[in-house]
Amino acid sequence: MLYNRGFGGGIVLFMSTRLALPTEVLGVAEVRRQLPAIARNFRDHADTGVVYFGSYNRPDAAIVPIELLQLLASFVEDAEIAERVQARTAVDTGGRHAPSDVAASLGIDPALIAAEKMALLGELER
Amino acid sequence: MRRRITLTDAARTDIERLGGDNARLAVRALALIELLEEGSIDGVPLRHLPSYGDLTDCCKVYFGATGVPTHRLVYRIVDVDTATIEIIEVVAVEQRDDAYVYLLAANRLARLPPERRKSFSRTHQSVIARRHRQR
Repeated sequence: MLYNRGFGGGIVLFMSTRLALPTEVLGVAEVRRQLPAIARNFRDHADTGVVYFGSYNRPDAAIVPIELLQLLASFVEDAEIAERVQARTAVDTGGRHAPSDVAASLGIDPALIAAEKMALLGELER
Repeated sequence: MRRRITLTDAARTDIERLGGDNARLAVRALALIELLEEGSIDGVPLRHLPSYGDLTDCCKVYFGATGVPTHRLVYRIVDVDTATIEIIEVVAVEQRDDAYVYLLAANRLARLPPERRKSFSRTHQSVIARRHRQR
């Protein structure tokens, strides 16, 4: 779905769904000419979508409202974090440790563990 | 039946990190593991839930720095050898909020349903953020 919006006499076509693939691509010269009007339109209309432009009716680049870019950035960040988390948490490195080795490597006194065992058993009995 | 327990690298890291938050938590987690190994306590079997996948070979045990069960330990029964020895692996040791420990265990065992990965990542990030705030 496209709709028209005027920019100081010129007409620019926008996507009504803000990130839909471009069906209308502006020429570079036209974008250059209308840049102030595009910026003003972004500022004045919160629901404005992306403006695509390029040569020979091929979208080489796009002008994105800053508010939409910030929204997109948070999604990109989420996706990047999700990938990193997945990689970090899902890998089983194959290492296995005896409880006593873990205690020793963490510098935990076996007497402390023995005392806590008694305390835990006492709590479980209650 | 005797038990032999080991901790995965990730579970060992969990305990180390718990110790950074509260030294007693790490000691208690290891005490709990010893009690499991001795057969003094048993965990509660987990189920197969859509939210975290099939954990039916796993069990949970509650514990906390005081008597309040703020944390859960999830272990997996790896093998039972002719009813004489049970081999157990501790998979995750974490706080109980948001069922995070189950998601973590399922993820580490590569059993987390793909459609839950995003939600797991969100929970993971919020847990990390909360932990930083608490420090």
